[in-house]
Amino acid sequence: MTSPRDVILARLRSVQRDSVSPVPPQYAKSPEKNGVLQIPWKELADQCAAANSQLYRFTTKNDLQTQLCASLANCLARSIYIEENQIWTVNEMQEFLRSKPDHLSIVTETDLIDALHQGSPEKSARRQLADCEVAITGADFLIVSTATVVKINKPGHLRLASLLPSIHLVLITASSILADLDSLFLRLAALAAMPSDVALITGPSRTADIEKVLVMPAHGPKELQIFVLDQE
Amino acid sequence: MSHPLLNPSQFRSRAEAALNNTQQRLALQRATSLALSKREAIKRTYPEWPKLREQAREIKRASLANLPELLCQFEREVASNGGQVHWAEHAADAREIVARIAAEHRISLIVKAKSMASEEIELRPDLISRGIEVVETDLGEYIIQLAGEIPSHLTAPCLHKTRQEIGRLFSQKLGIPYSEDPVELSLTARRVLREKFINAGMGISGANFAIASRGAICLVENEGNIRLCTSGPDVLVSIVGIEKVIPSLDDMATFLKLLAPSATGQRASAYVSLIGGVRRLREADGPREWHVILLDNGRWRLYAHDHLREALMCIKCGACLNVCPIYQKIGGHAYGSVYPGPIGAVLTPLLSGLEQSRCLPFASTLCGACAEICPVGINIHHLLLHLRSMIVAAGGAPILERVAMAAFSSFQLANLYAVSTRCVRLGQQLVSRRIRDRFLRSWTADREWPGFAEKSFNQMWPMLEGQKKDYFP
Repeated sequence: MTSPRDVILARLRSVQRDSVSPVPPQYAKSPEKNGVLQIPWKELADQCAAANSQLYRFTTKNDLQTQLCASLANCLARSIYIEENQIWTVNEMQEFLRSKPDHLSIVTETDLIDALHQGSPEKSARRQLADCEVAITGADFLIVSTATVVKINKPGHLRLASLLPSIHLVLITASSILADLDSLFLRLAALAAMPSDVALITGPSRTADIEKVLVMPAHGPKELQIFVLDQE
Repeated sequence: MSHPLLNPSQFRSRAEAALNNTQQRLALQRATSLALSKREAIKRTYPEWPKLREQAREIKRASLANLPELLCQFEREVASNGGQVHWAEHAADAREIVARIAAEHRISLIVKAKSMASEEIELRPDLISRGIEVVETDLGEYIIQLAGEIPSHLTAPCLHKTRQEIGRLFSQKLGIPYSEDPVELSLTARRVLREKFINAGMGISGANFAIASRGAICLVENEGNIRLCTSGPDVLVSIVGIEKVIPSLDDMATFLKLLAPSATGQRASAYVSLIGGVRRLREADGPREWHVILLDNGRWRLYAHDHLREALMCIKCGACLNVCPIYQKIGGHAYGSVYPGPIGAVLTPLLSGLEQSRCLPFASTLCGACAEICPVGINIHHLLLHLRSMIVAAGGAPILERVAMAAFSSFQLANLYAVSTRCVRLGQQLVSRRIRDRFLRSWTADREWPGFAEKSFNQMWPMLEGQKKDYFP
């Protein structure tokens, strides 16, 4: 008996006709600009505003830390999720967040994995994450032309962290800023193996399904705050 | 059994009803004009737009030319990412595969992302009939599911509904106090669906693109519901039309730059996900099992056709719907197909049968606005014209038209033509409008009778002789 696979492929092959070279012609991609990207901060800020994201730029780790604590106090966060990022390890963050006066409950990926291993159903880990008001995550790239945050999934990171909490706060260094989508996909295409998930996030979650009225959030966070560390 | 709205043969009566639906016409007018003006504004900031379109078209053309090879490569790469590819010849096969996977895992709740392919195979009602709770999680699709309808637009499923209708629907189905505030209604849906996301055992998605070299799929959205469907549940099933495959990640930038402006008038959609298989070692979320269903379901009929093959380049952005003077007036449901509008009028006859869809290619002014706006440059109006000729060749023209055309072909004798037009010219002065309309009802019911000019061009020409200089200086 022939499988559906064979039927479908045979039928396509029987009418394929103009089979061209196995590798379709490659386009001359706009060449990567040599050297370090001169970051167009103005354009990045404009694009962030257009995408309804908030962009903050810091020249020292200290300033960044102060603003981070202020932001958390500002949104009255009681429970937050943190993960390692280009600027701090989980331990370092726990350290300075703990020194905050008010009591803050901090959830990490390890906590959630432990919850899984202790046999509690996975959905309770999901619920624990959903109960966090803020997620502080890292990111791999930030794209100027569209204000897009790019997260390549890896162990120690949770995909749901950028989705379930109400506020997504991204920490990234200025050296990870790319000009446009072309630069991004050149880099992704050069990766040795395909990651399990790559997320391109542009602004908060949104919908306009009811009479085209823009509503934020839809299912994900209502705020996307991008903190860039631009050290000398 | 198919949804009662899925019946293209009722085009005439549905279109007529839609034309008399003032509410819907307002909603359509507002939505389509907003999408078009936002698109135009973004497009202006892309000087390279024509080049991007050309690139996208070339990538799609090459992908189709190599379709069998790319599908095999995609299958291999998905497997090496820990996923499993299934091939489905017909809609029923695809439904059967999904049902089998759900049964194997004893799934009781499925969260579903928006997917035209899943609409095409009527997956949701089938799974529900097997006793599984299936919830659409895109807000528009959720509204459509509550209303028991089908989407009326490729990217904005409930574009035809007013906030009052949605308010009444929510209050009735969810037992909440009536509100017509879009913010409140959206937040209600968020609250209800949040629980579903947390408890679901399986997610179902479609795919905007399937990347052969990496065994990955790309999903584009604004709400975050697709990412929740593909990140939370242990089992993920993705329904992918065979035409969705493209060679490599390199091609993605081109399509992403075109897709968001064309679909929603945005520079970038809020979420683009590249799903590259199951969760890897030491990763704490994402699917443990990934099933990709490659769906044919009649696509080979388009593929086999010289001219119509290019319709498979469609990236389902919906721009041709927004710009179409017919769609703007009648909306999506009149077409009686999962794929409405100009591109739907090309796809539907070959996907679900020429006989019952033969009205659709005629539901066009052939103005070409669809082809002009198409981000991959599909010559939609040419394809519609071609379909018309196929339908006529198959004996699908009305008798009056066949007689008229037979008569017209005898007019190759110039004198015969001149004599008969003179007769008509005389006739239209003698015959009253009412009698004329009785004979030509099939034309004049929907259209103005243009009438013959008092004098033909040939008669006017000698009189113009003296004034030629003014016309042709």
